[in-house]
Amino acid sequence: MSNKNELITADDETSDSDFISRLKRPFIDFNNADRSGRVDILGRLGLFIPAVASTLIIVLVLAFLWVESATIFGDPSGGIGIIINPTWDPNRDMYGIAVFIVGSLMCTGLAIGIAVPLGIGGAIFLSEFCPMRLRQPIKMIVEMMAAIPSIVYGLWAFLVLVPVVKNNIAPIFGSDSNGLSLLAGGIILAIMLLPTVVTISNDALQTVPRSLREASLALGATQSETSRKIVLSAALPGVGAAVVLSLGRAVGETMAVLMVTGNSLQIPYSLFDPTYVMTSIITNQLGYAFVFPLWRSALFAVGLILLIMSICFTLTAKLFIKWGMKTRGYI
Amino acid sequence: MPEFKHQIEVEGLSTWFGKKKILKDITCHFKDNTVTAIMGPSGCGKSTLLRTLNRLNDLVPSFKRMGNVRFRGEDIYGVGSSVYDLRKHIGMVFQKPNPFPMSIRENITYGPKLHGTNDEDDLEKIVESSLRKAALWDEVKDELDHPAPNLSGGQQQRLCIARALSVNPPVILADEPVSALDPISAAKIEELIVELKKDYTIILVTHNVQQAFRVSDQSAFLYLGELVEFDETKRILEAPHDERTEAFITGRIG
Ligand SMILES: Nc1ncnc2c1ncn2[C@@H]1O[C@H](COP(=O)(O)OP(=O)(O)OP(=O)(O)O)[C@@H](O)[C@H]1O
Ligand SMILES: [Mg+2]
Repeated sequence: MSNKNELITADDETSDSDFISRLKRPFIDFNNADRSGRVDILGRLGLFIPAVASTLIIVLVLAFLWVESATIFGDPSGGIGIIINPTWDPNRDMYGIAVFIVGSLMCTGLAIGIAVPLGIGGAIFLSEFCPMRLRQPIKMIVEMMAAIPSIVYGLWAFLVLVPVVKNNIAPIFGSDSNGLSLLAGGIILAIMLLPTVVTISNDALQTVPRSLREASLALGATQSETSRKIVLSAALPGVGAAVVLSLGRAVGETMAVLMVTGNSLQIPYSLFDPTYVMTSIITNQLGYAFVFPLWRSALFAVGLILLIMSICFTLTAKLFIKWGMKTRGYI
Repeated sequence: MPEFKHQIEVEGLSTWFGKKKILKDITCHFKDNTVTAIMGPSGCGKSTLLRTLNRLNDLVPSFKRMGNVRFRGEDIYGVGSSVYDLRKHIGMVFQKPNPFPMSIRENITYGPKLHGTNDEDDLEKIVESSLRKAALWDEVKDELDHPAPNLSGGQQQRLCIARALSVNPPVILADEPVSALDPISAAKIEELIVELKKDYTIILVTHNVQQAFRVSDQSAFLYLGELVEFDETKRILEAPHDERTEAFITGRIG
């Protein structure tokens, strides 16, 4: 009997310390994760969960938008055709969203068209030609530009940029625009994108090894040839990343654009015509639309298309970056 | 064209980085169709001397210089002399292979295109002849459009030599071109240097006495920025005049 008892207590003790050591195990492994032959559960979970979560969030957001917009896509007055239908008139149950898609694409295209060349130029200046002493101060100012809230950009654009477009730019081209226009939207968006393009491109340019610059100069290239043909080319994947980020921001930007584009339900035929972008229609009408299932659903459809567009842009740009890395032998 | 005896002549050259004097009153010359080795312990100014010859030090804001460097009789630091022309005529190979992140072909055509060769056939010929001279053609002729950074280290360095040869410079500067490579690649490149000597004037910085002995005809021994000895390699290595040279050769310093 006593014998058995002893056995049990002994057993209990080992299982007890077993339990504790099993509890401690992941932490010890986490500490030793660098050593070979150790698998560290804690670290794996710590990385796995956020990775799964972020994927899940994208999927959930897509699913949510899809469910919300199913009504309009399923309705006879709506359907998938709303994407190419330019008439938006909720009073008559007409929910064509082509105007907004075109507006967003043009506004984004214009902004990228202005911001990318300017930003890359600025980044090249900063990293290749700017005197050392000025580099840090300029970088800091540019980074601060990124911290300005978009509503502040919007206010400034409304009070300054719009009148400038109206009084100084439009007359040159013989237009009597009131200033609220595609051009104003494109310009303010470009200004907002500029810091991203400049800082990220500049970082990419600075990681290009000095030995490549020297190799080019030693062949008799000028500084300018070297920075364009070697440094920029070597940094192109990184510069591409800057463009990806700014594309994402450009299509999604709301406040500043809303305030200066005039929000008119028409497809713009010139830079001075007003336009209506996807984010603006959602912001402007969601409040009224909430109790009208079709109207509301159409706005969610705008959101869905916006997200899909944004994902497509990003994926395309990623493919381009990957191709760039391949041809350069980085991967 | 001014008269000149040697491709490159250096006369009374002193250089500074900021207040620190690096080269002290150097006078030497580099004969045509020879390999000149520049030897000396680490930090003695070998690279600085080499990079003064193609004005690459001009990029360092604190760099200052006194004395003359003449390329084909013309002062390279003189007013009106073009640094781009100079560098076109003086090729350079660096310590670590530094191919451009582009295709093998683009690496070779970069220089010629800069200097105005745009004809496809001409460029194609340059690609082949440069790669042949650098003993790389047979290894890469079927993959000219592959990215150069995917080559092995030794192949990359030969590509860099081919790239330097692409603009056909009479002089080639090489700064410890094999020190980052495995022994077999290093031997290949040494062989190549001896081969290239027929057509080019080569200035080779090296740490390695044996290497200087194997490939060079004349040698310069630098010590703390001073040119201690400058003569035929054989003479310097067999019977050094200065005890610092002897110490370096026998491995007591450096
Ligand atoms: N860009 C620069 N700015 C300031 N000092 C420099 C610079 N380049 C070199 N120096 C200094 O000049 C001295 C000589 O350097 P150099 O690179 O010519 O030596 P080296 O003989 O080539 O040495 P190693 O064999 O290690 O390559 C060193 O003391 C170095 O610190
Ligand atoms: Mg050196």
